Amino acid sequence: MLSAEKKFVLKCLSDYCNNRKTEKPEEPLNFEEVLKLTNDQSVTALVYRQCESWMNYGFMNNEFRNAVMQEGYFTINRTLILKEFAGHMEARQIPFICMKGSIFRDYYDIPEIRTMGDIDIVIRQEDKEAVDDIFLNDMQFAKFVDNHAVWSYYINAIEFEVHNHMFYEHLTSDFDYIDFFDHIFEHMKHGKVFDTESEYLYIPDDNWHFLYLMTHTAKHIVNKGSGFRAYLDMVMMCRRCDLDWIWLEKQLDEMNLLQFTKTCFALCEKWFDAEMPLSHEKIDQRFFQKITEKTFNDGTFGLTNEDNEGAHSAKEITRDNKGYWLPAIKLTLYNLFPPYRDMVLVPWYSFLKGRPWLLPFAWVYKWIYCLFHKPAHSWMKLTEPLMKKKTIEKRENYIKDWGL
Amino acid sequence: MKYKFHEGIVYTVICNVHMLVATRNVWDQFPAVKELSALQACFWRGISEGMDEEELMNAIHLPSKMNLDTVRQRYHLFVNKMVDEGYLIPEEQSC
Repeated sequence: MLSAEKKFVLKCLSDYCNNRKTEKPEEPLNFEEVLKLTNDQSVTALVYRQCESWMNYGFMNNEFRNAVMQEGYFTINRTLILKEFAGHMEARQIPFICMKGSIFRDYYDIPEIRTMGDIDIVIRQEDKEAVDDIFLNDMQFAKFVDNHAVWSYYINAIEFEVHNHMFYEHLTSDFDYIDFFDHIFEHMKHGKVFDTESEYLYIPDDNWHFLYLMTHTAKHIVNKGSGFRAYLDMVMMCRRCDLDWIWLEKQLDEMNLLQFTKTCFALCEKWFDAEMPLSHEKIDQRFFQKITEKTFNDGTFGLTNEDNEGAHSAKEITRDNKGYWLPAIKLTLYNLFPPYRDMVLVPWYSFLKGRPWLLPFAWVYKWIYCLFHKPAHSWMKLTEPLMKKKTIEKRENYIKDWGL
Repeated sequence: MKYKFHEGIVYTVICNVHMLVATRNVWDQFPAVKELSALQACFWRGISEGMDEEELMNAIHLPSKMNLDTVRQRYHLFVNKMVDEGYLIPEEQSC
């Protein structure tokens, strides 16, 4: 049973989708709890927009207004900094594609209420060094690399994420998502992003971007869950873009995402009272209740909580599609002896590059590091596929319920 | 007297929340965001259009329950505070 506060947050989101102001609730609510929920879901500014006419001045009003002011800071500064960045890219004749939040925000009547953490851009692999130079030397940003795939640049909480692939994971075994989205440079168009236009600034074609939104959401569901914002994006995108549903249905089916998309659309209809495309069956009430609670618990991008225990192992085992024990043993061996192909991508094992014969040394280094720095976590990760069969199978069934 | 505002400060309004935002060049001189009331935002917009005090008082749509003297008083308080904090620069001082 959802708490009154959760029901209220959902009501705000639903009212927003239906262009209604949210009335002051008759029953007393714990607005600190409401604020926590909206912060976890990154929808505080949106909820404030819905309630500002009756939200009395005072502590809570200040907290909600602070969220709006934060978006003011980000919008103004992202606009100016993206303009500057586009100028540098133009001078060096480097094409780049903005994707995700910086595009989705424009589907909302007030773009600032669609919060975002960073500006995601896709560039070609061969331009990575030049872009690195622009951020570090021309624009004086700091750099952060948390994995091999994404380079993050930031200054005063303004962050850019630079990708040379639009998508990095294999969600299911029989479709190559990485390769599919690597064709993004054939499916882009010029567009305005944060009021910036440039000969070298592109945005993904709408249909292509919608496929990305669904794939990206599926990735989060398979990993640690996703918050309501992704579903709001689906509603807004379906309304604002002239999407080709005949092509999309065929393409989603090919990508093994059609059933998942229909599940998401059914949730959008129930949560937000929004009319969605594609015919889909009525959603099971128990699944709906479970997912609604979980979506609140998971926050915007999913969290490590007991709901998501075994997620990593379940993902790998499901992907292998060969029963349970064989993939589980394979995963354990993989965790112990990761292949050269994967090890070389981790920055601290870059000494392996071009020296595959050093791999055994890298393994020993990894084991010793794990033993001394994170023994409990490493032991749990190593033994999870073998010791937590029930948890992992439960998780696999949960993923299947989504149509994935 | 006319005023101009410090370069690098941008006024914006979202969901009826009025604010002044510091941009990159002045991050070290001003808070990231400063909230303005609706009346202060009116003053700021008037000043940004180059109005002096009299022009602004003539143009302003008086909020209910507030007479012109009170608005003028608030204007002086606002301008003095903004000059002190560096947001506004009296025009004779600027070059």
